[in-house]
Amino acid sequence: MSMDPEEQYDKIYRYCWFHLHQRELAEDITQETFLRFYAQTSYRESGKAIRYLYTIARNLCIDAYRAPSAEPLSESLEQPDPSDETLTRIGIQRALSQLTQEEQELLLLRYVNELSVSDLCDLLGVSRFAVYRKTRQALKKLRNILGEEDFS
Amino acid sequence: MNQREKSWLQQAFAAPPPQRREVFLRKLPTPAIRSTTFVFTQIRYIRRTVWAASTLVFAAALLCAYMMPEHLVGLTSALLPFVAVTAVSESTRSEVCGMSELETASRFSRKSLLFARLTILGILHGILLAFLIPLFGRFAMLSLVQSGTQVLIPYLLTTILCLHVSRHVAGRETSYLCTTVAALISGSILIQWDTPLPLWWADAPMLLIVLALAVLTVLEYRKQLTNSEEFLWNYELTN
Repeated sequence: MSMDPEEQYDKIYRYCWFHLHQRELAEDITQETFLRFYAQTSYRESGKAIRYLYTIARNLCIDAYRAPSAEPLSESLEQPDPSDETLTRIGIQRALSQLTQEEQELLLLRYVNELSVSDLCDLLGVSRFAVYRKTRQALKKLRNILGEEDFS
Repeated sequence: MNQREKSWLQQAFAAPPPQRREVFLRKLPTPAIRSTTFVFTQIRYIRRTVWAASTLVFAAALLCAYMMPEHLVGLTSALLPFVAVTAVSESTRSEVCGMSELETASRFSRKSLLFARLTILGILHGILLAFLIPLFGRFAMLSLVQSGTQVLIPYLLTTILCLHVSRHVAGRETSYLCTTVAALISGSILIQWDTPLPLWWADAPMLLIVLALAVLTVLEYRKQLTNSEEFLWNYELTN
């Protein structure tokens, strides 16, 4: 995966949004991630750029959890739009909320942000086998939950 | 996971669009890259045919040396013009593929990209030629100067002529003409390879010829690098 800032900005922002659910804060953390990343040169050229980028983002999100926040808890609620696509999205989000935070993070990083398994291992501090096992488990759980819903 | 499930997940994890993305990315400072790193990153942009040509000549020379030492000099010298063409074709690839304008607008100037790739190819071909010279000496019983001239003259002559052609001919015709030049030089070597070395083949004059060709090659490459942007402007304005 390339370390193109334009390509990675959206992914890191999505990752921060997943943790924080506050647009302004997620964007601040995303930008802080890139600034800190570019301030360091030791790992940039050793092929570990993506891992370090996500590690910085993760640590900043954890710090943001701990800091008292003056921002509103979430974005203004969207008025439900009765289109099929929105209903499907809401359904999937509801199903995802029944997974653990760790399982949701794994699915986001693996299938949405398309991180490699080796990057995931380093980021989450688990073995390759554990990543495969947890991903399979999370997918199976999600499919079971979705299978129980009626989307027709 | 199938595409439908993937697209569901992408929708479910979608975040509201960021508002300060463009401004931030425009202001983000591009990190500096070390020169050696830059040169090494260009290795993967050099086509496989270039590596294959050098490997083929290396393997052919080794095979010939052990199985047909009497044909070693002629065959290997006849293959060297094609190796030279692969190096020249790398320097003209962006014009042939219509990418030169894009490369002039990229992060690294076209001149520096060209210089990096020619450096890599220069090292590769230098190693190949340095390997061939003692091989000729050992198996074909030639002196060092004779081996050197047999190796360097076809290579340098092809390089000079092809670079000259590439500066005066645009587009795909460059590749065809350069290959023709290489074929002609190769053919002339093959025709006379069994001919014993002529009486006037003395070391000193041949060394001078090789030196002159080497200087001309350097000058031609220098012109190629200097014209890499200037030539583009003229070409774009007149075509």
